[in-house]
Amino acid sequence: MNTLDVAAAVLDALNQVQASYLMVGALSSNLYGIPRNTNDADFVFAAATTDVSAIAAVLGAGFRLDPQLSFESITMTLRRVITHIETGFLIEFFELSDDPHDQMRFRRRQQMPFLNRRIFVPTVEDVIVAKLRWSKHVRRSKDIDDVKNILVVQDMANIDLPYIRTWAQAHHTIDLLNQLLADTGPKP
Amino acid sequence: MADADNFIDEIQRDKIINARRISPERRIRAGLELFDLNRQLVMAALKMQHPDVNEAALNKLFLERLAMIRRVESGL
Repeated sequence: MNTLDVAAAVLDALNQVQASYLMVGALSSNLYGIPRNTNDADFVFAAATTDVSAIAAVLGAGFRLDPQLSFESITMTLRRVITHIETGFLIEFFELSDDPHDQMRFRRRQQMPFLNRRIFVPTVEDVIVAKLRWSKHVRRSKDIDDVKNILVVQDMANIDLPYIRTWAQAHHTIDLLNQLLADTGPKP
Repeated sequence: MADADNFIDEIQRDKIINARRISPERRIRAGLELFDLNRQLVMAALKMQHPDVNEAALNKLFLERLAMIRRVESGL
C-alpha cells in the first residue's frame, strides 16, 4: 500500500463515518504552494460529530490507533494519532477548538476533488494565517518557508489580504507577514 | 559564490513555475508521493548497509529512523 492508497482509505473512512473534518498541516500548504515531503497527514475534526475511534475501526487491521492522548501546542486541543503500520505514515487528528481562528477556518472550509473523492480543505488565506501563527509559536522555519512558497505561487489578486492582515494583527504576526510580503516581492 | 546563488535562484524559480503549472490536486499528491520516494531511497540505503537483512527487518529499521526524524523535528 503506498501513501496515496493510505490517503484514499482515510478519506473513505472519513466519509463512511460522516466525519466533519478539515485537512490541515503540510498537505494544506502543498495545496497552495510548492509541494514538499511530509511524514503525516493532519486533520481537524469536530468532536461533537466525529469519533476518531470509529475512523480507526473502519480503517481496520493495517492501521493502529495510538491509545495515548496528547495535545496540540497552540490551542491545547486533543490530538489522536492513527499510524499506517507498514509505512509508519501518521494520520493526526486535532479536535476543533473554541479558538476564534480555528472556528473561522473550519466554517470557511471548501470541498475539492482528490483521488476521485471529495476532501474538505482550508482557504488559502486560512492556511497563511495558521502557518504564520505556528511559525511564531513554535519557531519552525518550514512554516515560514511554506508561507513564502504560497505567496510566490499564488496570484495575489485572488488572495483576500485584508482578511489575512486582520488575523495577523490579532495573532501578533503582522510584522512577520509584512516582512514575508516584502521578501517575496515581484514574481518570476 | 555568486554563481552558486544564481544557481539556487534558478532552482527556486523552476520550482515556482512548476508548482503554478500543476493542479491543486496534483500538488497535494506530490507531498504524499515524496514520502514514498524518500521511503524507497532510505530502504535502498539500509539494504546496502545491511545486505543480509530481510524486508521485514529493513522496514523495522526504516520505522526506527522515521521515529528518530520525528523526535528531532519536534525538538524532543
